[in-house]
This record gives sequence, C-alpha cells and structure tokens, in this order.
Amino acid sequence: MREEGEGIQSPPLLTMWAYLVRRLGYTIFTLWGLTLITFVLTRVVPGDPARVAAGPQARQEQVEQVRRMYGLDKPLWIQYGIYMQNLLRGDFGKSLWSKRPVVEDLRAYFIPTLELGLTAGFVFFFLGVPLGILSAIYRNTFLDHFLRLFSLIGVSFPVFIFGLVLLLVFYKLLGWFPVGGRIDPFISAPKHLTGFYLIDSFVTGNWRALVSSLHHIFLPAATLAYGSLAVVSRMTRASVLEVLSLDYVCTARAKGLSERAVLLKHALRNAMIPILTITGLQIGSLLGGVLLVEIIFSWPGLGTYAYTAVTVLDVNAIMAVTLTTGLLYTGVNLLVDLLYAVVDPRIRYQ
Amino acid sequence: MKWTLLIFGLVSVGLLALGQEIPRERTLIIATGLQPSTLDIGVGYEAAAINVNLVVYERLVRYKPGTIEVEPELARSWTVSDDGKIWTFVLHPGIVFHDGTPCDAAAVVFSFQRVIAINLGPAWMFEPIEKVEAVDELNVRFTLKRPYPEFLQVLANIFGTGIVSPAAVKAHATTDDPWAQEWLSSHMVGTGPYEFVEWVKGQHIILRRFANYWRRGWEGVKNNVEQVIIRYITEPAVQRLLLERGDVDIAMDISVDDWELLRGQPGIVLVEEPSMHATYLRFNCAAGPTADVRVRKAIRAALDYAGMIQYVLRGHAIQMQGPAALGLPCHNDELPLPKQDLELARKLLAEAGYPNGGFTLEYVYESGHEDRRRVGELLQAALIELGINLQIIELPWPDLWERVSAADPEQTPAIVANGWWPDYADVINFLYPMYHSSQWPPVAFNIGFYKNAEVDRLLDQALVETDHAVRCQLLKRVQALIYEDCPDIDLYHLTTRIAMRDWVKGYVYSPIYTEGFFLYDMWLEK
Repeated sequence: MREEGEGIQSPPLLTMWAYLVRRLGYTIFTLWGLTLITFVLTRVVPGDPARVAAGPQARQEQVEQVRRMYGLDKPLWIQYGIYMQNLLRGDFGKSLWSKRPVVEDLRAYFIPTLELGLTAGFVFFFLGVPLGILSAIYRNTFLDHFLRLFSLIGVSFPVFIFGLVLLLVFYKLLGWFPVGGRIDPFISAPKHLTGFYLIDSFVTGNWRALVSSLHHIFLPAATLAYGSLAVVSRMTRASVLEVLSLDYVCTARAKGLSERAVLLKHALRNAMIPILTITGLQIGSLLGGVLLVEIIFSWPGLGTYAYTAVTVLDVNAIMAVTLTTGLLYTGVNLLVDLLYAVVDPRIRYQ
Repeated sequence: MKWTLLIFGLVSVGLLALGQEIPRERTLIIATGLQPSTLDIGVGYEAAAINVNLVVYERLVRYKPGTIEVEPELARSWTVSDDGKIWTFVLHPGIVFHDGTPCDAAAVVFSFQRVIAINLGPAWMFEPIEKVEAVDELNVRFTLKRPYPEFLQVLANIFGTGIVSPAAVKAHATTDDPWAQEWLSSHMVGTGPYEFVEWVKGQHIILRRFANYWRRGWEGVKNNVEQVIIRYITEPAVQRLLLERGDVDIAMDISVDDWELLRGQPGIVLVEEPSMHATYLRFNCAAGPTADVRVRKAIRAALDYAGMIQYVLRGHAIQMQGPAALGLPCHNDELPLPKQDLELARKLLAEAGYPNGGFTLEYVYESGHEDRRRVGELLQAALIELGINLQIIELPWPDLWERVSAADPEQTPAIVANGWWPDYADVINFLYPMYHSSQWPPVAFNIGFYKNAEVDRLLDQALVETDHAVRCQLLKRVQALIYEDCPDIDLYHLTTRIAMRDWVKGYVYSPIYTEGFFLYDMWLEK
C-alpha cells in the first residue's frame, strides 16, 4: 500500500499524480472484476429471476414475456455486454422487483445509508481520537481505566444488542429520541440538494427539518459508531503512547515546548498513520454493521433494499448494490492512502 | 451529558409540535414491516400493497366489510346474461378521480385494458375476458370467452381491479412506457376516500382525505381521520414499543411473544381473526415413496395436529379441513379433521411394503417461515418412530421455486411446505391451480404432480358451471376426492393479528383484504 522514503521533502507532484492515476486504474479494474463475478454469480445461482418477477401465479407465457423484456433470454455473454454498455452510460437497468429503474431505487436507499455511515464515521473518528489521546495523557488513571472499560464494552457488544439497549433506554424509558425513519413524518423533507437531510436542511435553513433529522439519526449513528469508536480510541492511545516515548519527543520537551505543542504538533502527527489505517478498515466494517442498525431503527437504507433484492433474485438490483458498495470501499481505501501523504510528508508513492 | 440530551430532546419535541399541519389527533398512523415493491395497481400482486390499494383505489364491486359477500362500490348495479358471458355494470354518476377528471365507463375500460396489456402479476385472473367496452357514459360491458362463475368475486379482489385515472396515465406515458408503469410504480391516482400524497421509500406513505369523495362526502360521517401515515417499521419489537408509547395507532406485525406481553395492557386492543391463508405439506405424488397413496396417508396419520396448533403455533392458528379454506362458499364441511394415529400409520406403511420404514424423505421449506421449520421438526420426530428419516432443508424462495418447478418429478422434493392466499373468495381459487393436472410444473402450482381424472373432469365442469348449487356440489365432491387421494397434508390457517390503540374506532376485519382497513368507516377518539 505505501512505501516510506527517507527524505523529508514533499513528494514531487508528478509522482503523486502518477500514483493517483495508477490507483484509479486499479480501482476501475477491481470494479470491472466485481461486475464480472457478480454478474456470473447472479446468473448461475438456482432460481429463475423471470419467474420471480412475473409473479407467483404467472402463466408460462407471462414468464417468457418478462424474460424477453429484461433480455434474460439472450446468451450470458451478450447479456453481460449489454449490461456493461448500459452501465457505462450510468444505467443499472430496471429492477425486476419494483419495475423501476434501479438508479431511482438506489438514489432513494443509498443516500440514507451514506448519511448514516458518514455520520457514524464522523462521530467515531472525532470522538475516538480525542478519547484515545486523553487515555494516553492520563494513562493508568481513573479516566484511562474508565475509557478502557468503555472501549471494552464497545468492542464486545454486538451491534444489535447495543441498538436495542439504546432503544429501550432512550426511546422507551426516557422518550428522548424517536425511532423509525430519517425525519418526523409530520415534517416535510428538506428541499433536495444532496439528498443528505442534515446537509440539505442546514443549507436551506430549514431548522425544523434539521432538528428532526439530528434527532432521528442520533441513536442509529451512536449504535453504529460505538464499536469503531472503541477500536479507534484504543489504537490512538497505543499509537500516541508509543510516539511519546520516542527520542524526538524528549528533544521537543527539552527545547521547552509546551506539553500541548509537543502532543498536537509533534506526537499526534506521527501517531496518525496507524489511526488512519484502522479508520479506513472501520469504515469498511461499518458497511457490514449498517444492515443490522437499519433493521433495528427502521432506517430506510441500502441494507433492507439489498436484503430484499437477494431474496427475490432481483439481479439488476444485486449488481447495483454490489458495485456501489465496492466503489465506496475502494474509494475509502484510496482516500486513506492519499491521506497518508498529507499526514506524513515522508511517504512516497511510487 | 444527560441534561444536554434532555434539553435537546425537549426543544426538538417542542419545535416539532409547533409546525404540524394536520394534528396528530386527526392522523392515523399504521406501522407495518411490509413495504410494497410497486404501487402500480396493474402490476402489484402482494399483500403489502393491500392497505393503500383499498383506500386509494376503488373497484366496480368490493367485499362487504367483515364478510366475503360482494357489494357494489363504483358500480351501483350489474346484470349478467343467461349464458354467463356478458356482464354489464352501471356506474354511480358524478365520481371523480383525485386529479379531478371524471370516473366513467371509459375509465373502467381503460383500466382493464391496461392490466391485460401489461400482462403481469394479477393479469391471469382476467384471462377469460374477451373484450371490455363502454356502452355509454355509465355502462360498461364485459364480454367473456367462456362463462366465468367467479367473475364477480374476481372483480372484488384487490389486485388489478382498481380503476385508475386515464388522464394521469396518459400524462406520464412515453413511447417506451405506453402504460406509464414507471410513474405509477410510485404514484397513485384513484377515486377512493384518501388520495396519495407521497411515498418516501423505506420510511412511509402518506395519504390525505380526498375532499371531493363521491360516496357521502365528509359531512355527517364519524370519520375524523384527515391523514393516514403508513410507517415501514421492519423490526416487530420496535412496532410494539411505538404502539405502547402511542406513536403509532396500529401495529401489523406483533410477534407471538410480544402479543402475550401486550395482552391486558391498558389502552391496547388486540384483534385476532382466522385468516384464509392456508399452509400445506405438498407430497410428490409421482416419484419416490410418496408416489404411493398409502405412504402419504401414513405420514398424514403420523403428524401430531393438536401439538402443532398448541405448541408450534401457540394457538395462533386453526386446523384446516380439507384442501380449501374454511369459511369459503362451497367449502366441504363434512371432511374429517386428521388426527394423529401412529397405529394406522404403521398399518398403512406395512401395506405399502415399508413395515419398518427404512427410507429418507426431503422436507423443503422457504426461508423465513419458522412455523414451517417447526412443523417439519414435529413431523420428523413422529416419523422417526415409523423408521422414516425426514431431512429438513431450508431454501430461499427463488431456489425453492427452482426445485418445485422442474418438469421432472424425480427432481421434486418428497414434501414441500407451502402456503396459499386466496385472491378472491372462491374455493376454485384453491382447487384448480393446485390440483388440476393441467397445472403441473412448470406451468403452475400443482407442484406434487397430482392427477385424478375425475378431479380434472369435475373441475373443468365447475369452471364454466353457472348454477351455483350445481357448481357447489361439483366443488365439494372435488374436495372429498382430493382428501381421499391425500396429495398433501392440509395443515392450518394462521390467524391475522392486529394490535391497536383503544382510540381507534370502527375497525372491521376483512377475511379477504386481511391487511386492509376500511378507513372511510373508521375514526379516532382521542
């Protein structure tokens, strides 16, 4: 993934661009591989998509009509060719289940998942790193022990148990937070700009929608973030402690720098590489946890859509979900790799 | 932290309360886990769409609330020719669609032509229609290819029968999509008491009172429900919490455990009614040991029916009597209810040449149907005593369908746990697709390759017999013959369970529109 050089100057711009182009090439290759594997898999698994789409009581000629309509009667390689041709135009085909363009369904379900995932990512990173730093500074104090316990619970608790506990406490007992959906059904959704309710309501100054959206996303995001927050805070603690014991930190202190400057300007920057790595991996694991969280909190996301697509063999929807998730995953990986260079200029991309 | 959250919560609730356009007191909120795949009345064919279809669209005729009796809806009367092939319906005058256009005979014709042309989902029920035409503004004539005794029942069914605004369809039609399927998959324009407002996928559907509703309007009716929100809540336990806190008025998917916990809670009303949904164990009648009727009957005698109802289903079901649903006209009430009789089972097996069993049978059920898995385990325990090994296999629906739709019976499992919903209230909707030999795989639902020439003959006769009494005799005879041939074990009808707050008034259960609500006749007393 990365190779460390010995110099201390910034990487030459050309090398950086070359690296980026190469990585984008890899990404495209990975996604193409993903289309091929998923396409073949969805076609060879048992079950007849045309039969499912035509309906349980459909006559054989109706099934054949559906088969022709979706091009499922053509040889596999021609089907794949047509699929790829349409895909390059941004067309994922029509859903065999809802009979709508998959893009339309994807837009409806993917953005809520992304909003939830990013909010959870934001929470676990910007809360996990400071908590880890606090643990490192106050190591072996009550605070450190408390945060260790807090992290241990976060790592050990299955996400669906934690979600149910939050639901019982904060919805049933205290009634502080609502459950179900992204916004109160009595409040109109904010004007569509990005599809992210939090951003759209903020940008348009729709404060009622913003408050309601925050209110609704709090519990699912907290559930999703907790496990990753625990991991990131522990990793930050370990990484910061390791860096704090290095000679250059000693030198910085000897120079008379304040403890704050030593920590934030010198130690943290060097401690960030493993934290970024673990953050990238945690975002990947969030994608796995999001399905359960969506079910518990009735969050209208990609998880339930993907589950339905698989159970009814909606081949076009399965392809679209796999590709979108794959794109997201490779995108996050690429971003993390690029951030290495931002955080640590010694890193060279070759 | 807690105080911050509390203040945040209170402020938010306050802000939310300020801006409601239609107050909560005049909003009915229903929680359900089932979201329809499409709202298109000409395509959709799933229980999830019943609740919206029933109030946004209207049919020529409908099932009277609480019964399976057909009564007028958009049509005020109808006549049928002596040969049963020409049906003429007279519409109520002055009916308008939600888009303001008139609902006349041309609109009815257009709606049926649309469903038939799309030829998906519910279209199979309209196959006997040769042509449908508008005689004048209010008269619609259906000409059928053959007598269709259950035609009225078919027209009262919820799938494919709702009358849709032709103007709305034409406004959204394109060259590639002449019937506006794409637009109608997420919009609805009917004539019902509530009009479609929005569908936020995965979250909710909102319906609002239609001011120009034709029936009696809104003056002098008890109904005070101005808005209906159908919320999609996937987790049954969450539905229970929402109901307990009064955030929803009706919960459709309360689990058996939660049902017991809700029982007796103040403010909660539990409605439980037997449904017409039938669960069977379908035998492979053409291959393997179950091709022998004595083996099939032995297995039928081995199952513990009382234990099944009491322990597996915890009382939330009733045992079936024969292959058609209890409560339907022409149901044969004289058939015996099978009971566990292991001695009889042993005797039958011995007669079939298996005195000590000694064979293995596959039992296949669809993923997600826990009741069918547990019935399999109950049967497995009983069959071990007879020396038969039952191998229980769980398959997702597409895989299961692949297994049972093979034209070669050698590839079909020995036993398939299978369910059946009646589309309309007629026993032929059970008998013909599942037991006529023309319906063998891959064509349709006679998945056990059952064939009895007499059953075929009687069903063919019943298909066109217009004399109700004669037809009933034929169909009762068919049920008796099927029971005797034992192509399946007729297991149970699950009950429909709906939990609601006590302020919801006027609810009447419909045995056919089980998931639906006659909202026009309902009101809230909060």
